[in-house]
Amino acid sequence: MTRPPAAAESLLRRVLGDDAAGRSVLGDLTEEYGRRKGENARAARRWYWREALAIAFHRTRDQFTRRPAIHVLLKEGRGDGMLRRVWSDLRFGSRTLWRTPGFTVVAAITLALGIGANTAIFSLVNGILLQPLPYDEADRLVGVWNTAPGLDIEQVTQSPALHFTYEDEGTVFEELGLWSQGTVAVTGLEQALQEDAIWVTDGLFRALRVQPVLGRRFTREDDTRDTPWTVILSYRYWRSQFGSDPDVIGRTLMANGIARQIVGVMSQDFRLLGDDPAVYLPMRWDRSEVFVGQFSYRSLGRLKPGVTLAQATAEMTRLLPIAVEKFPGGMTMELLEESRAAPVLTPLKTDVIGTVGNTLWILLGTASMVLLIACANVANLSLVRAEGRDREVAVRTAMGAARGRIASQFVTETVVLGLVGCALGLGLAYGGLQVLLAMAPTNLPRLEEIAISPMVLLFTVGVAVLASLAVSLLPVFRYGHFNLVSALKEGGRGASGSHQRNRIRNALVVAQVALAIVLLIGSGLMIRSFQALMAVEPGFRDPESVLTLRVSIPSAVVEDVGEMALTHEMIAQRIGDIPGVASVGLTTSITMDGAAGFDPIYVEEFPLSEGQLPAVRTFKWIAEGYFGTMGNPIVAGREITWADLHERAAVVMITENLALEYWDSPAEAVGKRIGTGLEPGNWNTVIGVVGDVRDAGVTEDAATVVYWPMIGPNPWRELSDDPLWAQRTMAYAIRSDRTGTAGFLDEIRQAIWSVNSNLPLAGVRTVEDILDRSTARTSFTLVMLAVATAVALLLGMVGVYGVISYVVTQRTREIGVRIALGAQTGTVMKMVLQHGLILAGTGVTVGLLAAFGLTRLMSSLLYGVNPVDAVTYITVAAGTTVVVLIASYLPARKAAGVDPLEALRAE
Amino acid sequence: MTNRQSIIGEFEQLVLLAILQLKEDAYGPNISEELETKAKRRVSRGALYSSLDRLQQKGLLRWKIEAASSARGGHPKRRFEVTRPGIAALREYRKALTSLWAGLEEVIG
Repeated sequence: MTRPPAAAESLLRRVLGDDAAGRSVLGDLTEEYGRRKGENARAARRWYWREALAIAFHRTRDQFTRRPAIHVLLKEGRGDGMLRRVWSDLRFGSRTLWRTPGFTVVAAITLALGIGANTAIFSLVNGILLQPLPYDEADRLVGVWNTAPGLDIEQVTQSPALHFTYEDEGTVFEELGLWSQGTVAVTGLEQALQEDAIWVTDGLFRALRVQPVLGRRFTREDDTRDTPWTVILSYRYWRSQFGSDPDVIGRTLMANGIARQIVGVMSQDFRLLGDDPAVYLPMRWDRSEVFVGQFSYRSLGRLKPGVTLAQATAEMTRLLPIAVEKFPGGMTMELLEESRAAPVLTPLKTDVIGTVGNTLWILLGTASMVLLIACANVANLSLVRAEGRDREVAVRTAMGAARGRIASQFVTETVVLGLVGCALGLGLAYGGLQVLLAMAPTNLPRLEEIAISPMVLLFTVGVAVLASLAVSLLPVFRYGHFNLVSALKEGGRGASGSHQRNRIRNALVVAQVALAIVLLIGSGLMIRSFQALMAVEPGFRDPESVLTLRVSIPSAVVEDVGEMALTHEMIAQRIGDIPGVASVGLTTSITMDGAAGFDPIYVEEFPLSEGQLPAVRTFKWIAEGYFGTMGNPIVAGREITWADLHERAAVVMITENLALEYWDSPAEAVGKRIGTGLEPGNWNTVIGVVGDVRDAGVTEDAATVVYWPMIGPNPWRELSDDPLWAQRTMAYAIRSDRTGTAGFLDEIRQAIWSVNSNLPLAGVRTVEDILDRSTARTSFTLVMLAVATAVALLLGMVGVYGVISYVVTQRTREIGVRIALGAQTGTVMKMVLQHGLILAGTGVTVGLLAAFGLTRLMSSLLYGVNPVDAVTYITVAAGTTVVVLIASYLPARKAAGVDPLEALRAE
Repeated sequence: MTNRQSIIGEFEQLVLLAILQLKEDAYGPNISEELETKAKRRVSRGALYSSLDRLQQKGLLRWKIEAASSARGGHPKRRFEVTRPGIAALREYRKALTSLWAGLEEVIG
């Protein structure tokens, strides 16, 4: 006898089963296989396999398409017992919930608040912290930085010379990219505009593995000097400026006065680490001009598979001396050694997320506390409700229902409740998320990736089920020790075990109060931080009435730098002439806008000793009127004037803290000389000292700032032959009562364009906007915590009220007897209030201890306040006690008003 | 009889007719062969057995298990028969077809 292929036959046995019908099919196939094998063995085997697979396919399909729905199975009494039980529990549970709409609505809303809060915050955590970056194999992407402990530099951006060395000599990277942000003047379209731009090396898009939707990426050729200029558009810009023209490739765009060929359009969802500029431009480095220095470019790389951060860092460290040799003119071998410079690699995700992780985890912790409070509330409610059902349970037990069966029914009922809460919570979360995204700080990373994703849904359902299980534990536990006889005897008003039940209930209230205390203290500390932030003197006054905007004068519009500076002066004058404008000032960087530069300075009076490195300071270039407009006082000397600029005077201004670093008083600094450049010698005289400015943000220490004239002698003669150093893009600060009113901006535009109609302006905002950005994270956290705390407090109050009034109802008879026996109203009220006070006291104590431990976690979010701030702790403790007393007052009054006759008659 | 169960598909109709044609020899392989030679329909065994099972569930056919033989690897044999509802369903089908065909000879030929 010939057996068919064993594997195919075993597959058939599996799908056909072992009944006669199934085996008959095997028989049919075996018989025919035998016949076919006589003709052609191979064809027969093939045939058998084909038929076996076809049968397996049809069988599997039939099983899925013809299986009757669960409810049919259950109705017919088929299906397995477990399923049937769950189904009947579900139906029974839904029906009981339906019959007690009061309880169901309150409990479902309470759970929905807790679940919704968690879902909303978790979608932030998931979208920002957990999801991989939206690039292919994003775990191999790293940010490339440098450190120089010898220069007190913790982390600094990349130098092109190092980048090229790693690219040419390194073996650990698949691709490396360099980029920097800025703006370009786009002309030739409808309106001359200053647009956001990002300059990239050709490797950047390859490292990220992104392709344009139209056209191509930059090539090595695009990124080389003396080749045609090219540009890639962002999707947004392509749509707004070119009307999504599919034939845009090959057209030209005038950027900074140069005609560039459009070679690509990036995809709609592409962001370069969250940035979405108008255009991408190739950097086109001339390698003969780079040196180990110019540490001001962002860099990222894709590690080869299997290469660890440590291996890559080790190789890059070895390459540092090679870079110094290969690209001379900057850092020397000695400086390299002294500065202890070394590369630093960070997972790219860390670069993108920044420090927001801590905030989000704390918010999620907060949300989970709200959920715990909600659960405690619902648990309390269901305990009360369970008591009302003693008789029902007793009857069912007496009729033979197993305890497990009754317990599982309670659990199912709560799970149904949980799922209703879950659905409501999702709705809340969806709405909440829209509000949250609208008010979230713009510097919160990855905002565009936040959504209620399948992962978030899974989390929500998980939380809902866990919460319902937690809530149902108490009633189940209660019926574990259920005394059938007494329940039946007492007609459902059992006093037995009531002490124990009250203990559980009290414990729940204490937990709620304690959790609310923790949240209140968290919010309180945030409020105190915010107060401290608002009290900081940032280096300007009335930021809401100072409007800022940037005007750039590209060399294609005005070539001569002298004429360029005069153009800025004329614009400032025209703006100053607008009615309502109090003053106008110019700078390269408004306080806190992040546009300042950093370079080392030399102080003539304090020459550096051998091997000592010059200190790096914040650099800004200014023209007349800046300090007056910002409201920053001149502490000593005078300010830089237009006349200084006309003379190309070698003058400089410094901040008070910088002056005091070297001299005893600001006045002493005036007349001293300061220089910058590659070595000492290019001296500028200090003519004035101004108040300190918090340039790195309100929460940071005041920066030591050096203000150079907008146009003056060039201190970097080694780098460029030009005798003058001039700034073409200036930020204008305009102080006026009319800031923010209609038509004001138009008048300013007209003033600028009356000088030269080809000048682009950009970045219109008030100093207050800049300040808000700096305090955004604190205020965001504050609002989130405040909302969570308000919900917690409300739920906590409801909890306390519920328990106390339940106890009062339970004790109506006892109170009636007391009053009948002559107890005073005051005494009765005191008795009830005392109960509330004991609960409050215990909860407050537990809460304070917990807060003492937990608020340390949020110390990085706090500013100017200790995590164990006595004022906050005392205020919150006192406030909560008062709130609990108020919640107990209503039931206490009810108790005092008990009519003894009625109370006794009701028995 | 016009309940939902009696509604049969075209392929099911062919299967039922093949079984009737084969009379005592209505075994799986023979049905397959009959369909192939007379109706020019090549079907996989998977599709055929699936249809047979479905027809049995609808009550339109039944089967009898016959003894195993060594040529069949010791597996039993299944002989199919069309039930009375099966025949009724076929009649129903023919009736529907005939009434729809009536008067169309000129058009279809």
